[in-house]
Parts: sequence; C-alpha cells; structure tokens
Amino acid sequence: MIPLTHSLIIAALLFTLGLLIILLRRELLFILMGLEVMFNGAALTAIAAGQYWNNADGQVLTIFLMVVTAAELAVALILVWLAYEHFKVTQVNMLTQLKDDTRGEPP
Amino acid sequence: MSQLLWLIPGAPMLSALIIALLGGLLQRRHLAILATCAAAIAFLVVLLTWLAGAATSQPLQQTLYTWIAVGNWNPTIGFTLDRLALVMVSVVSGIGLLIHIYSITFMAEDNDQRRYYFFLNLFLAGMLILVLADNLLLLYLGWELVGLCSFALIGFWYREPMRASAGRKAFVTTRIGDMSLALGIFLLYSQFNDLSLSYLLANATAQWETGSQLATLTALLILGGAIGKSAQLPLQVWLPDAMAGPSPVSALIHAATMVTAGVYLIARTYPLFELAPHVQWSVAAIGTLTIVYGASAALAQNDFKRVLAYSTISQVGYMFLALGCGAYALALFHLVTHAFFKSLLFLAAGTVIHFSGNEHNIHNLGRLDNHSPLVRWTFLIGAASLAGFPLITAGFYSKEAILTATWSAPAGPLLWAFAAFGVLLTAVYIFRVYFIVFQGSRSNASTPSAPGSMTWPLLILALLSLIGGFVEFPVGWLAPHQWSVWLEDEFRLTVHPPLEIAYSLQFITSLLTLIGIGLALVLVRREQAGHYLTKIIFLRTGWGFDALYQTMLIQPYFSLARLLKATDALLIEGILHKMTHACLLLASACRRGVEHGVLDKSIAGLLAGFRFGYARLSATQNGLLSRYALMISMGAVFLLSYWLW
Repeated sequence: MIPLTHSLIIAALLFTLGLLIILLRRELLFILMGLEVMFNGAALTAIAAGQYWNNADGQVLTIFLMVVTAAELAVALILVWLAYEHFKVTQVNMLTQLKDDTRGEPP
Repeated sequence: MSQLLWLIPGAPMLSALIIALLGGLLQRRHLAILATCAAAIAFLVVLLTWLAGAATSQPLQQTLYTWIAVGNWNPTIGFTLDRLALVMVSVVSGIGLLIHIYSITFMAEDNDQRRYYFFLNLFLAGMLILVLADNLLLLYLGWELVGLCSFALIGFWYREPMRASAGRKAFVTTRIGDMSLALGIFLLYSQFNDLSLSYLLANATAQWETGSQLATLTALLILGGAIGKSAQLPLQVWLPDAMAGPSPVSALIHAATMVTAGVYLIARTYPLFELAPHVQWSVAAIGTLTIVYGASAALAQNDFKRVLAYSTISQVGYMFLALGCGAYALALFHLVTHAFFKSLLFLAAGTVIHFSGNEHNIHNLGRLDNHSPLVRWTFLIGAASLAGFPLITAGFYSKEAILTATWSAPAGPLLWAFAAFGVLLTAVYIFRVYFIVFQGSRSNASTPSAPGSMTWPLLILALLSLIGGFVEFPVGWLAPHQWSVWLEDEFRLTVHPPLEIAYSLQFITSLLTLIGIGLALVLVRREQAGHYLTKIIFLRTGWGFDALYQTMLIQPYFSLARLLKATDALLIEGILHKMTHACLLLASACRRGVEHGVLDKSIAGLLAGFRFGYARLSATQNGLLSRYALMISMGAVFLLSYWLW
C-alpha cells in the first residue's frame, strides 16, 4: 500500500515537469508530449484519490481521461501537421500569425 | 307605433345620403322625385302617428342607441313625440312635403339640383331631429344642422358674391345665438349632470327657486339662442338678406320652420322661463319691439321678398310676445297658422318672380299686370290671413288670441298697444304690396299659369290659411277651444282678461285691420303719384341696424385687425429679426469657442489615452504560444494561492 502522499508527490512532479516542457521547449511535438505528461500527473492524482477513499470513481475518471486525451492528441497532431504543410515550420516561436500589429491605427 | 319614430327624421336623412353619395348616377328629375318621396315618407309616418292616436295618448318614446358613453354620462339618440313635438313635426313635414313638390317645377331649370335636394332633405332631417330630440345634445345637433343647411341654401347661387355673402352673414349672426345656447346647455349640464329634457326640467323646477340667479342666467342664455335662430331684435339682421336663396327655401326655412325653432325651444324649456320672471317678461318685450320693427321696416321695402322677410320677423315677434305672456299654446297656434300663410305668400311671390324673369321690384312687377289669377287669389288669401282679416282667416284667430292674452301680463296694456299698432302696420304693408303688384292685373291670353306641381301646394296652403284657425275661437265665444284644451297637459292654462275687456280688444284689433287695408289703398295711390315710401331711408334700411353694426362692430373689428397687423410688423421687423440676428452671431461665436477650445481638445486627449492603453494591451497579444501558456499558469497559481491562502 503506497501512502497517498507519495502518489501525490509523484503526480505533482509529473505535472510540473510537463508544464516546464510546454513552457521551455520550442518543438511542437515536444509540447504535445509535455501535455501528455501533465495529463498523466492529473490521472495519477485521480487514481491515488480513488485508492485512498476506496472508490472506483478515480479509475473510471482515468479511463475516461485517456479516451479524451487520445482524441485530443489526434486532433492536435493533425493541426501540427497542417502547420507544417502551410508554414513549413515545426518551431512554436515561428508561429506568430495572431500577433497584434501595433504599428498601424487601432481597428 | 313608437318603433317607427326614427323614420320621421330618418327618411330624409337617408335620402340626403343617397343623393350625396350616389346622386351622380341619377337623372336630375329622379333626384327631385327621390327627395320628394323621402319627405312624403316622413309626412306619412306623422299621419300614421295621428291615426294611431298619438294626439291623445302618452308621449311616444324611442331610443335608437347610446350616442356617447363616457363614465356615467350617456346621451342617447332618442326621440320623444309629445303633443308639442307632434304639432311641430306635422307642420315641418307637411310644409316640407308641399315645398318639395313645389320645388320640382321651380328648380327644374337649375343645373345644381343635386346640391339643392341634398341640403333640402338634410334640412328636413335636421329640423325633425331638433323637434323630436329627447335630450339637449341631440336638439343642439339638429339646431346646428338646420343652421348649416340654411347657410348653404341662402348662398345656393354662390357664384354671385352678394348671395354668398348673405349666406355668410346669416351663418355668423346666428352663430352668436348658437354659442349662447351651447353655453346654456353647458351650464345645465354642470348643474344636473344630465341633458335629458324631462329630467332637466323636472329637476330645475324642484331645485331652483323662482328668480334665482342660476335660473335667470340659464333662461337668458337659452333666450339668446332662440333670438339668433328666430331673427329677433337685436340679431334679426340676417333674415332680410337671407332672401338671396331660392323662393321655396325662403318659404320652408326662413318663414315656416327654421325661424320658428327659437319659439319651439322656449316652449320646450318653458319651466326654466317661469323660474325667471324677468327673463320671461323680456321675451315679451323683445317680441313686441320686433313686431313694430319688422312691420315698420316692411312698409318701406321695394323688394317683394324683403317685405315678406320683414313680415316674418314681425310675425315671429308675435309668437315671442305670446311666450313671454305665458300663452305657450297660443304661440304654437300662431306658429302653425303663420307657417301656412307665410309659406303660401312666399310660394306665390316666388311664382310671380319666377315667371317675370327674376324681377324682384314690386313696382316693376305691378307694371307687368299679367299675373295668373290663381297666384293672385292665393296671394290675396295669404295676405288677408297675415293681416288677420276678421272671421274668415286663420291669422285672425291666432293673432286675436295672442293679443287678448297679452292684456293680463305685467305691463300688459303697453305691450298690447304696441302689438295692436303692429296689427295696423301689418295690414298696411301687406296690402300695399298686394295692391301695387296685383291691382292692375287682369288675366288675358298671355297669362302664364302655374304648372301642375306648383299649383297644388298653393291651393292646399290657401285652404289651410283659411280654415286652419277654426280649432281655437277667441275667448268668450260660444265655439270650440280645441287647441288650448288639447295642449292643457303640456302647458299651464293661459290667463285671460275679463270678458268685456276681451270683447272690446277683439273689436279694436279687427277694426285696426280694416283701417290698415284702407290706409294701404290711400298709400298706394300716393305712391303711384310718385311719393315713394322707400324714400324713408330709416325704415328702408331696417332702422339702420346694418349701418349701426357696421360702425359699432365690423369697423372696430377691422381697425383692431389693422392695428394688430401693424404691431405685428413692428414687432417682427424691429425686434424679432434683430434678435434673431444677434442670436445667430452669439451662436457662431459660442460654436467656435466650444468646438475648438473644449470639444476638440478633450476628444483628442481621450483618443490619445485610448491609443496608449491600446498599445500596452496589444503587447500581451504577441502570438507566442509559450508566453500564453506561462500567463495561464501564472494566473492559475495566483488564483490557487489566493483561494488557499
């Protein structure tokens, strides 16, 4: 029986790690991986909580989360591929089309 | 029977509507027949009510519908047929029918028959509404309707400016009276919150004391309305000019029916006048003055129809005299006989004028001396009836009755003296006209005879002018007094002087009539010798009333208007325009100051502020995904720390 604290520490580490990946890496694919890591941290918390309260809801939530993540990843991968098709870039700091144009007059 | 009451004013009203809306589709001749049929229907319904016993039964009542419903005020379109209304309705519809028949020939040449018959039928409807109305509001509607039709028919040949202005004069003058009547109605409503005649009269008698201020004021206002409509002093000036209309119109509106509406109104509201004895006496005084006024002015007229117009003024004066003396039944009696002989005189005069190429001057007409014997004899009968030729004419009985009743009124002998003088003058002026126009006339081959539809009305009216008086014989005679007995329920009984006085009064007035006829012969001789009565300008101009009103009312009014116009010009030019200019200058200065000094600067400042804020905010939207993610994380951390802390 793993104590709750341990599980939560691991989950927090995973979440922080994922966040750091998102914030620091430039590659789009790595950012998606970072997202997955964050999801796993959240899922681990749910499972640990379910075990702690002897409740199956945590595991149900995790399975549901995995399904949603898979779907989300599928869409995100397509978006990344389309970005590469259109702009020939994989670096996130090159994708600044939404940047506001401050040189012109206000809209 | 009371279910048919609506048809009496309804038939002419419907016919007027048809003529107005669809008249263009009908031929001229059919218009005349349609209008006459409508008048005939009204008269037939009146006859039916007589046959059904309306003369002896309780008043008939029919309420068609509620006209206006506001709060607890519900004036209705409702008709009442009591004996007073029955008399009026019979006269109006009967004379109306005869004059419609007469008009068929008289107006046959006219191009504007549609307008003529529309207004004639509308007049008939209005007059019948007036006399049948059971509340004052409906009565006032009829009152205004007949005023409108009178205006339109006086100015019927409006292309001649004189005639059009005569119509306007009649309208404006009667308007003074109408306004007075309206004020009286308002006053009654403010006191009793109801306009139903029976309710008003019963309550006024119960609540007001005799001689109280309110009663006096109300009676005065109603008297004002009656004076305007009935052409009594001092509002009589419109009637002589009203002769500009066609002769049948003069006969119907300005002799037989509309001008007696004032008499009807006073007879209808007589309890109010009994509450105000002073006003009632002034009714008699006005009547007496008007008798002498009308009769003396009629003496000096050359225009055939103007003589008859002044004569009408004078004869309605007799009715007012009777009303003022409390002899309501006798006023009504004279109203009926007057309607017979005066419309007869007008129709006869109209025929003479019509067949003499529109010649109005009596001296010129006298020189023509080829008038039809029928017209001559009917005119003679009418004239005798008007003068009150003893024993055989209707006018004698009605006038005699009024004169006898006058004696017992306050200041009766004085009123009687004036009225008797009026009798003398009446005989003089009407026989003067008769002798001048018809004396030399003898029938020969060139005599035009009156065509069919003009003959019958003349004959019927002549017959009625003779026998119409046999319903009421003078007081003291061993003969029926049907009329006053029949109207006993409506009015209080007339007070008569002692018999020996009554007999002598009757004798004197009969004698005066005969003397008058003799005097007329003498006067006509003198006139034919060149001493024209028309040289008396005071009489010819109707005591100078027109000139008096011209200087007293019309000229001051125009002066006032001119003064106001000058003031207006001064004010507008001198002050208003300069003020406008100054305002314009001030406004442009203000605009420059405010626009450039305040508005522009503040707007520019605001704009700069917005631009600055926009630039700062815009920096956050840099399109960098990692920066967005950082911001979201920071936000989450802040929120979490806030909640947990």
